Amino acid sequence: MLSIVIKMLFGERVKVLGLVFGVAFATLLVAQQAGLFVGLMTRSQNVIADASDVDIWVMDPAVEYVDLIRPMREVELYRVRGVPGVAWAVPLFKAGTSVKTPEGRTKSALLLGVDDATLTGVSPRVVMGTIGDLRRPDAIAIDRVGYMQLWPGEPLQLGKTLDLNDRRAVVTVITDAAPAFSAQVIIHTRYSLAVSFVPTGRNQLSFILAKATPDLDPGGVARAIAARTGLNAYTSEDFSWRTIRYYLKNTGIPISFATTILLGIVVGSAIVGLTFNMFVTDNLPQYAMLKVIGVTGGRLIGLVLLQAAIVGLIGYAIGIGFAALFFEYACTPTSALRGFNLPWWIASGVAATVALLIVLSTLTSLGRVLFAQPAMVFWGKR
Amino acid sequence: MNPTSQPLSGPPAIVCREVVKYLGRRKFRTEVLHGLDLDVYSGQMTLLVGPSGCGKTTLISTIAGILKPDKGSITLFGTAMAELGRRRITRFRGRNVGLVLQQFHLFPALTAAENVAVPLLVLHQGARQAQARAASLLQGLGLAAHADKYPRELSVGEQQRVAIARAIAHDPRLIICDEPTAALDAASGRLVMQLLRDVTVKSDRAVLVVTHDHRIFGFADRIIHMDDGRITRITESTEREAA
Repeated sequence: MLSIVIKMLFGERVKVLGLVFGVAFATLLVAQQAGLFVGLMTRSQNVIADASDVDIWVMDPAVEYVDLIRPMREVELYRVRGVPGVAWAVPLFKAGTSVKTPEGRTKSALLLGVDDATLTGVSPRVVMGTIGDLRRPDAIAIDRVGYMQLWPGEPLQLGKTLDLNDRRAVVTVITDAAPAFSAQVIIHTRYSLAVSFVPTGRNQLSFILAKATPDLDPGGVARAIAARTGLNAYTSEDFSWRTIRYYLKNTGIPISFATTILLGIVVGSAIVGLTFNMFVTDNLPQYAMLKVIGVTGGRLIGLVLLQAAIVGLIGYAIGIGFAALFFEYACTPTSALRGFNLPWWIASGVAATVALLIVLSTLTSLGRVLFAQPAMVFWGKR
Repeated sequence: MNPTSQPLSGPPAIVCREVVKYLGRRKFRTEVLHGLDLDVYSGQMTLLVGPSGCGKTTLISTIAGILKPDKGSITLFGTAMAELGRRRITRFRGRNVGLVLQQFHLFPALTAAENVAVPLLVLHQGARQAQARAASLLQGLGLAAHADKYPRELSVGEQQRVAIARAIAHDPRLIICDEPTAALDAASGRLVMQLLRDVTVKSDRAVLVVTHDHRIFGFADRIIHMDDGRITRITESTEREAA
C-alpha cells in the first residue's frame, strides 16, 4: 500500500509542489531566523565566552549585563583576591571606542584591557603572532574580521599601526575573537595600555575575573565574594545568561525575531493547510473508493498522514538544506555574519515545529477523509 | 407476490428482509426502500432493473454495506451485516465484494496493473504476488499490452475492463456492477456483458448487475424488477425463453 499511496500523492504534482514549497518556506524562515537570533544572543556575551578559563565575574552592584560598565576602585581587586576560595583574580578593562587607520578608515571598536602579567581574557584563538606579543610596546591584538574591515583586500600582516584616541597602537597579534554584539573591531591589549588609550575617570576597573580553587564550587565562591565585598559576583555561565536575559527583556530583538518566526509558521501553515485541503478534496472520491475496496477509516487516516509526512519530510529537507547553505556560505569565519550558525537543537526544534504544522494543517482535512462517504462513488460527492 | 424466488441450488448468497432505507435529512428525509425482501443466489447473473430513482443504487449500496439499513436485515453468505461494526463491515466488503462502477473510479496515478492490484494490497497480499495476479487478469481480459498504461491512456472500454479485473482480483464471492453499459453503445454493451458473464459468473459467486438498459437483459439468469423502492417482479431466464 505504501507505494500506492506515494504514487497517489505524486500523481498530483502541482499540489505536491505547493505543499513542499509551503513546508520548505516555513522551515527555511524559522530555521534561519532562529539561527540568527541565537547567534545574536551569543554575540551579546562574546567577552565572557572568550575568557574561557575564568570561573567568576565580579562587578559593581549596579551592573546588570556585560555591556553596562560602572568602573570599580582598584582596591576591589585586592579585596576579591583576599576572599577564601579565590585561586586568582585579575582586572579587566572594557570600553567602546573608535579606531582609525593611517589611511583614514575609521571603525567602532571594543577595547578590552587584560591583566598585564597573565594576559588572562585574550581570545585563545590566535591567527597570527602569539599572545605573548602583547607585551611589546603599544601592542594590541585585533580580530581577523576587524582587520579585514580596516584594511579591506589586504593580506593579514603584523606591524600595522592604528590611531586610538590620538595614541599609536601596533598590531602584534591577530585573533579570531568571538564576534561582538555591535562593535566592528575587537581589540585586546594590556590593562595598563588600555586605560591610556581611553580617557576615563578616577576608577578604571570594569570587571574582576577570578578563578575558584579546584576543590570549591565556583558558585559558592561567587556568593562568598559578593558577601565579603558587597560587589556582584556571578559564575561565567550565570553572567552569560544574565546578559542574554537583559537583551531579551530590554530590547525589541526577541519580538522582532519572534514575529518573523511566527509569520513563517503562519504563512507556511496557511499554504500547507489550504493546499492539503484542496488535495484531499480533489481526492475524496479516491479515498471513498479505497473505503469501498476495504480500507478502514483508521487505516485511511494513517495513509493520508503518511502522505502528509512524506510532504513534510521533503519540504523540511529542502528548507533546512537551504538554511544550512545560508549559514555555511553567508556566515564564513571572515564575514561580518561570522559566529551565526545552525545548531542541531534548532534543526530539531524546527523539525518538531514542522511536524506540528503538518498535523495542524491536515487536521481539518483528516476529518473529511474519515467521514468521506464511500457511497459517493455511486452518486458523486455527498 | 412474494418477491423472493426459489433457489437453483443451495442457500441464497444475499438475503434481504424487510429492508427500509431513508435518504436525506429532516424535512428532506425520504423513504427510498420500503420493507424490501430479496434473495440473490450464487452461480447466477442477477439483473436489478427499474426506472431511474426507483432505489436500485440505494439497494446495492446497502447490500454492499456502504449504507446501513434503517430497518430490516441483510445477510451476506450467512453473515448478518447488522452484527458487524463499521470497521468489520469495511473489512468484510474488502474480502467478499467486488464493485464495478459506472464511472469506473480507477486511480488516475496508478497504472492499469497497479489499479488491479489495489484490492489485493488492501488485503495485505505481497506486492509481487499482487502484481503477478494483476498481470494474469489483465492478460485474460486482453489488456496485457496495456498493463503499464495509466487510465487516461486507455479507451473507455479498456478502462471498464480494468475495472472488472480490479473487481475480481481478490476473487470475491459477490460482484456488484452499477450500470456497466450506461456509457456504451449497443455493441460495446453486449461485449462488456459477455465479458462480465465469462469472467465473473462462478458457482460460488453471486453477480448482481444494476441496469436500466433492456438491451442486456438477455445476459441475465434472473431479473429483479424494482419500482418505487419495492420489488415488483422477478423473472427467470427459463420463463423469458419460454415467453
